[in-house]
Amino acid sequence: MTEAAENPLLRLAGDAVSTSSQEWIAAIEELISREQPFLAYDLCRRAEKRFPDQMEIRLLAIFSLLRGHSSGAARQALADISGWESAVKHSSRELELLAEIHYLCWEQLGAGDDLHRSQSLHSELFEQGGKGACRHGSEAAIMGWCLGQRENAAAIARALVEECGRDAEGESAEQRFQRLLYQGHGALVLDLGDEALAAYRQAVRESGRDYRPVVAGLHQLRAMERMGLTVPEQVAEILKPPRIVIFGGPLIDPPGLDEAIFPPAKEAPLRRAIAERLEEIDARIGYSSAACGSDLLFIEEMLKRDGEVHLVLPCALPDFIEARVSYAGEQWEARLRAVLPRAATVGYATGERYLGHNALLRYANHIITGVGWLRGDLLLTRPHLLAVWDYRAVNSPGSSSDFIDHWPDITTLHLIELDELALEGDDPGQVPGPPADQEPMQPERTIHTMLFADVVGYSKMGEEYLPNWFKLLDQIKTLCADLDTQPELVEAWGDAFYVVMPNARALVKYAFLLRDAFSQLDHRSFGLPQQLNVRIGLHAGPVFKDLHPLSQRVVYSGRQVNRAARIEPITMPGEVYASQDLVALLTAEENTVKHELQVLEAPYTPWYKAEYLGVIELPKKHGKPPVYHILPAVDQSRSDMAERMQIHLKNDLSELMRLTQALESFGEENQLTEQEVLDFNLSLDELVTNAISYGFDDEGEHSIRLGLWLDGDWLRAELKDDGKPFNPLETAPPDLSADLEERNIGGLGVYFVRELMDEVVYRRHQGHNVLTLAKRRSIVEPPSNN
Amino acid sequence: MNIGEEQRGDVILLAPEGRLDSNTAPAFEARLMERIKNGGTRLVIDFSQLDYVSSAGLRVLLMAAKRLKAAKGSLALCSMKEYIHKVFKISGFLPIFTVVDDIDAAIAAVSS
Repeated sequence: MTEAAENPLLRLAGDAVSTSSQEWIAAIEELISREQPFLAYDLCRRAEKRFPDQMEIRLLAIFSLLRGHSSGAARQALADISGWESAVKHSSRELELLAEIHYLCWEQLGAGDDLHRSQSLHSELFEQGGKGACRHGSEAAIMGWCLGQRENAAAIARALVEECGRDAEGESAEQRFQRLLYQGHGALVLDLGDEALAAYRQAVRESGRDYRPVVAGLHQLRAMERMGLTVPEQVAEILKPPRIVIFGGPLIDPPGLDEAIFPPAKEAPLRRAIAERLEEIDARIGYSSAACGSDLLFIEEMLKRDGEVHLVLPCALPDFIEARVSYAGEQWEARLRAVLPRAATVGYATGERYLGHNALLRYANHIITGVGWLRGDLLLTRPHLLAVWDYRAVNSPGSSSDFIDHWPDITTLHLIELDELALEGDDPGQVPGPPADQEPMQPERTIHTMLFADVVGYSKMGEEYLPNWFKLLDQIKTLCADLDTQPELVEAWGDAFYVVMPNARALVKYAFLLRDAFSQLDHRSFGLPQQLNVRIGLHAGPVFKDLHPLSQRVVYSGRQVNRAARIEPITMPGEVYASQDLVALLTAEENTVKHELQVLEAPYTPWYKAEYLGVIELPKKHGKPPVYHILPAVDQSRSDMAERMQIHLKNDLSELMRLTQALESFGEENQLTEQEVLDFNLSLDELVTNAISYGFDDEGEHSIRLGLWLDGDWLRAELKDDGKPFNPLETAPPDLSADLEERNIGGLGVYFVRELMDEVVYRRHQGHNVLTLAKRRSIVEPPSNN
Repeated sequence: MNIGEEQRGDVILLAPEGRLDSNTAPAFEARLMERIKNGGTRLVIDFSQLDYVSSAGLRVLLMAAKRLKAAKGSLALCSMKEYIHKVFKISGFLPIFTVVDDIDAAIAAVSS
């Protein structure tokens, strides 16, 4: 739904032989900055063939993979260049890329040695000085702190605060903002909350109206919190993301209504009411449709405030104008045409014709809500809803009730009661004519969600495996029986599946099931020659459901079906990707669930995450829709399930027995040495004992989750509890030289953990303490009996 | 937790079994402190049946050693398995405890 400029990939393609490596690199970087990681990766692969010795291209390829959340493939590619990484002297650009790569690896895979590596690279770049040094200093200090290198982190932070405290000559407002921001981060690492706040305050004074630097700063602070740093609450009062307002309201009354809802004579008072509310809410970004009446008043007032406006129209523009704008007078069409070029984006629920299908109106409103919320996720702000409402109006599709009825949070809901506004002026305000009455074309379009999947590895299998392939599918079908909603249609052609569902929630659940069936079932045990993988793409939209004249079976057709089929080929195997339309619909559906739970005062548990990937160019001119990566809220597929153990311990010390048993059986299955089992047992025992004894203020039952897995040469564990924030790595070390009288026991447990493990990392994440432990495996010998 | 016990002359031998961690330490602590309170001044702790000790177990031993030292008594530990010995070593407990190979050496150590 967003326009993207000319594609550098296409520009290069015609001139591939004569292009220099620097031009390739510039094109790749342009794609990355435009958030097109998949395209950037493809371009890297082509560039690598021509310039196999250019390490920068290989690093950009790995970086693109990580930006597209293909962490497994990235890790593999990184292993391939590990010799280079440690051997050669590198340019600062290469070091910078490596630092980013290792950080993203850590964020996505949780291996602390990546964080170590990233930290030391940033630290090196900080020492080199020059452009961007402050950013590297900030990263090095924060990561060092996270890794428990307190003295090192403090030394870097002190140097950083000093460096950033100096005015640089000729710096732009944005550069000044960044410099002050990093100064604040440095102060936070030094535990100087007030100085940090002062730096942030000064930074905000420099930032002007551009909200992007502020939001980038907030993202950095979020990351710091995840790493366990305490960010003072007052920061929220200083660095404020822009307020997003989602808007819905009635159209100008067509003639012939029994009772006037929005006569033209209410236009002026409504405009004033909208302007007042926008000022109150401090609206900076708006999402709405653009029909005559409320919508256009909202848009005009937003633009007057110098706000950013995003429009979503239910169908192609000429039909929209005819059905929703021009009936109220030519001036409304002129006003629409005046605001269109000033909107930041104009999207369409479908670019096709209206055909009298009211489902499109309601769907467009769900998309408006959904994209507004998704933008809020990116900008770290909660959208507000401003709705114009009249209690007498019919709750038809396309009316403000589409917004109000599902809004999950009454604290961000603002209503303007239309019936309370007085008529103004002598003119009764008759509109020229009713909207063109259109008999809906049959069959009517309905909103459906669609999945396309393609099985990787299928085409290499001989026909003799077909019966076993069906056995695997039988098993998947059995698993599907547990789903709340069954598909309306499942089609299959060889290695491709096509599934239609009535809503987005059901489809995503189906997609997760399919993904897990491919990653977790052992396909060889079904008699297949290899483990197969699956690419999954999801989309939503208005489609025609009808009997196909030739096959006499139900089919779903329309432009949107074709688009769904185009997402899947550009995806990475083993992951689920979705168009923004699907994610927006999912967000709107999820809001309804939140709304219902709020009424019941029941808690809401998130079950999925949608990560924005960028605007992806679809093959065969199917446009450039924003694409998201969808994954379960708790992703257990981070490593091979066969090697992963997970248990939940209650906050009761008697659970230590279960911990031991679990470790012993994991050790036996994976042929760990007795020493390894004991080292992990003691470390985890100490941390679990701490959490149980001091972590919870209430008497209630809590669960501590322990995961344990093998990762190449490393044995890793993750411990997660929902107790109060506590970073055990801050515990003072014991005085080992004290004699008996002076010796005390404090800090010994954590000291064991540090001694026995090769790395220990603490972070606070979504209300949980998360500790990851890792130990490099000694040369693995066959288990012995001594 | 099972704790074997034996009296040899004025020496009390305690032999905890299995695992000495935060879950089992309170039981062991209660037994040990009771013996000290009742006037036991020469104590041997036989580790031969013990598979595991955490800092919670070390805390109990440290307390007992401090009490006994204040009461002019003595404490010896013996027959440690390899991993427990490692834990003592990391803790820096080896220099502040009397750790010997077997029961006879332990009895000799507390009796001298």
